[in-house]
Amino acid sequence: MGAKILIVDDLSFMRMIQKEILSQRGYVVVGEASNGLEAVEKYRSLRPDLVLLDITMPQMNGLEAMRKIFSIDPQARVIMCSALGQQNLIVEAIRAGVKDFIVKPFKPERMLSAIEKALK
Amino acid sequence: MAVAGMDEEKLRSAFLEEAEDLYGKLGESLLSLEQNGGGRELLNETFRLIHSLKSESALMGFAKLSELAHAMEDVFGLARDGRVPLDRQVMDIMFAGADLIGEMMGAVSRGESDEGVRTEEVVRRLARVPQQGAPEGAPGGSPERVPVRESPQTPADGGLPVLDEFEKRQLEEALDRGEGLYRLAIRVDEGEPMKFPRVFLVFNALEEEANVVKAVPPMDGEPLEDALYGETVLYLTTGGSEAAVTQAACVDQVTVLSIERLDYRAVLEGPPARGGGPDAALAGAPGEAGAGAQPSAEGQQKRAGAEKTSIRVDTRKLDDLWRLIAELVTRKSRVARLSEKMTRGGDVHEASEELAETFDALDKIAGGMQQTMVDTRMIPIAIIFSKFPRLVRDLSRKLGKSIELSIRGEETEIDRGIVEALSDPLTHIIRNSIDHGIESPEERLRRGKPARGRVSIEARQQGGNIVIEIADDGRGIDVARIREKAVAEGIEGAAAMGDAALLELVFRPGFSTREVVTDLSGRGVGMDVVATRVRGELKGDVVLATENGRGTRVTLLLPLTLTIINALLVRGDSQLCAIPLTDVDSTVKVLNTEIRADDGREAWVYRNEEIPLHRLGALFGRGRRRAEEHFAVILRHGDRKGCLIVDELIEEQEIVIKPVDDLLNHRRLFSGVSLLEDGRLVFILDASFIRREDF
Amino acid sequence: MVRRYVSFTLGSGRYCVPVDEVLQILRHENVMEIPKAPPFVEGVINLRGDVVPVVNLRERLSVPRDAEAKKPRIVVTQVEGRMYGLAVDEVRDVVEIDDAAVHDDQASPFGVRSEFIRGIAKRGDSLYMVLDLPGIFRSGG
Repeated sequence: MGAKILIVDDLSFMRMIQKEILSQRGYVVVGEASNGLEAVEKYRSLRPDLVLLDITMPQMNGLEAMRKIFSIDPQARVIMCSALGQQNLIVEAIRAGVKDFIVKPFKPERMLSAIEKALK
Repeated sequence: MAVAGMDEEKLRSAFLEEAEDLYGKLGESLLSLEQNGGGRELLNETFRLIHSLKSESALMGFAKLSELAHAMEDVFGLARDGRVPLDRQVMDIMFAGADLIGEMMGAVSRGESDEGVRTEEVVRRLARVPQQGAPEGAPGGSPERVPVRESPQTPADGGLPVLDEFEKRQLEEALDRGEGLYRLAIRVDEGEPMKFPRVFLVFNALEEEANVVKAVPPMDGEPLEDALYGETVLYLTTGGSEAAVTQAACVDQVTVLSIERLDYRAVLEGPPARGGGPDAALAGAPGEAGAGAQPSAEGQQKRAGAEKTSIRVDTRKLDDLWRLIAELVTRKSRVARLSEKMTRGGDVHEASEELAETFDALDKIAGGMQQTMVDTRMIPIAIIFSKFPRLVRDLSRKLGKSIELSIRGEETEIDRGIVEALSDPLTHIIRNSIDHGIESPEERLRRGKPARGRVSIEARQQGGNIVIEIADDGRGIDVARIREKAVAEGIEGAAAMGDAALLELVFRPGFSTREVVTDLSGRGVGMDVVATRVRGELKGDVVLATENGRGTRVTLLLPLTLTIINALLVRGDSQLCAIPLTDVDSTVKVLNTEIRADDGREAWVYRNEEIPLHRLGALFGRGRRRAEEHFAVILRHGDRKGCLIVDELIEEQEIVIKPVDDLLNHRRLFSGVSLLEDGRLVFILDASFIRREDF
Repeated sequence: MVRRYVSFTLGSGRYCVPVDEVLQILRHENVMEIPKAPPFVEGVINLRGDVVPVVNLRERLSVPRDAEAKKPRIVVTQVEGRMYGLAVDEVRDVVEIDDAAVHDDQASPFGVRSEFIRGIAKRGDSLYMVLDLPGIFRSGG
């Protein structure tokens, strides 16, 4: 569908996999970030249609980055990636306006269907 | 392979590059941990490394590697939280695991799979660690929290909901507004590991269009066990269509099982929340267990819920307790040895000294444990306040009003026992403020007010009480109207009543009936229930203050449950003062030469530290003592320190805290008062004053 | 309707409070001072283990001192669930006053702030000032 997506995760391997999965589906990965600060920067300059955001990252974690992104753009579409046992963080993120969340390790189909729904 | 069609080579090498890096760092961390023990940072970092390895190998489809890493992650998670000590045995297993990871990565880099490496043994050893490492009597390997609250309500498979007073009011209001009442049942896919947040997504989306009055299992407060949310029922009212509701529930991994429209009457007249009525056996409506034959499922659920009540506790408090227990064990063995010595005819004098010393230590430990246990009951009121910003936002949008919410004092701690009972009344008061208090932007402008209304919530500790104030700058309450109504209703002495007494009438059951309410611009709906809850159940008080046209303030006063503390008794001039030991860092001697004055403020400079200085005598409004040196107490509150010069350090004592009235405490220096055995008055110092600007 | 009040004197004036609000009457002694308290707060007393603040009525109402109080007393009252003491010159008797006789007079001719006074009642040829205890014991001025 050509939607522009920003991928944020501190592990480059993760990002590579996500990028591959997304590109195969026809999404355009317009940028990658490895920490919260970079994520906010890239959001500002790239204005993607959706952001895949990992919760635990060094140097400004996912939640903070999410809040900053929402303050830049209240309509931002964000999907959080989280590990098990981070329920509180996820609930907080949902309260702030996150569209969906994916639990790692995730199956590609799961990620894709979440993105699809979020972009509607 | 995780991603079909992707270049295998490229994938593998990318994986290896990162995984080898992680593995290398893991090795270093483990070594560091073994040699130097674990600081918080290192523990977290190591956990992150293991976790990342697990995730990446899982994505690559390396099942064995990922399984091993997962097992290591679990054990390490326990160690990080202090549930399992990082002793020789555990470290050995970790190193063994790391070695195997190395082997598997070696295989992968040679183009082979991870299957060849035998990991079963180590995985098994890892699985056994929680039971071995746990302290005696504690359950092994349980996850950080297993909160199971009582859930004595409708089983999720049918029936009408059991509502309390607040929920019924909400339904009545919705009925007035002409909204439809629906029951929405949803199911979360089996495969979704975190069910509650999924349901929360639906709940969140629904709140845009509708008002969720009740959820089974409950969505407010702390969530129950995650698995229970596999099937959730939501009762909601909405002015929109059924289709809109279904649309909102359209969340990934969630299926709508059913949606049906309910009849308000049936629900409102259903069995009361407590004590089943005589017709408890209404078709499908569950009553209290015992009021006629009831399905065993509900009864069982209730019984199970009643047996297990557990709470979430800040693990640091558990750490404190653990340390105290460790000290206790040490002292205990000291006493045992002493007793042995005595039987063998040791020196009585020497032994009795040691005994006295040991007793002192044990006394302090007991006190510390008592305080810690008491502390575990206290949690910041933020747990209740946190949902208000959302509530305000949603309500104001729905009603077309513009409202700014300010929250202060959310770190104020309250006894966790009252959290549930307190949440509803507070929510209700805020709803009232927004619904009936704050006017529409147009009306506000006409009245010369800013278009944006303000609602503020503040919590603070005062004396032996918690004070919560909710204020708005809305319409206020027309007291004259209350008087009119009161006189019309023949209420005794209404004509001579002062404003305070008239406002008190708002809390009277029956006074705030529907008609009166509409006359009073809706204010007062449910206030009688609020009063009953606060005054009856919570043993506190609630007071209304208002200025017609300008706004209203509701003040709740709730007693604290703890009343005994260990304190350091000191004297400031002729007045006695007690400082809770938990606020005392140490006692020192301060020399005049070490005091630096700057712009009216003083500080104690000692060994590169500069601590703000206060004089107890001066705080009590009396003069300064002339001396070369002074006794002082170093106060600690959170991350701040203060140096308090006193005239005498007396002793440590257990004291009973009594609330201190505002009249006696207008500078808010004290958190309570106490009386000594000889009747002398002691003020209990509130160490938080060191954080304040006015000191 | 007719209510009963406990009356006491301050200088030449007469004051009263409803009987239900009075718990006890004590001799004026053993008042422990409070550091940095407002001038109308005399201190506290230890009433069987409870710490009860004592407000000096004269200071509170700014009534000038004329003669030495003969039988100073502390009237222990209950207001909104808490106990407070009121230091007065002398406690007189229990009087009955009809509500109709109490004038809710905003413009008080005696120069006393109306938040401390609920009203003024004429009984016979004496004037009684009915005190507003919550107002008197409220902190913040």
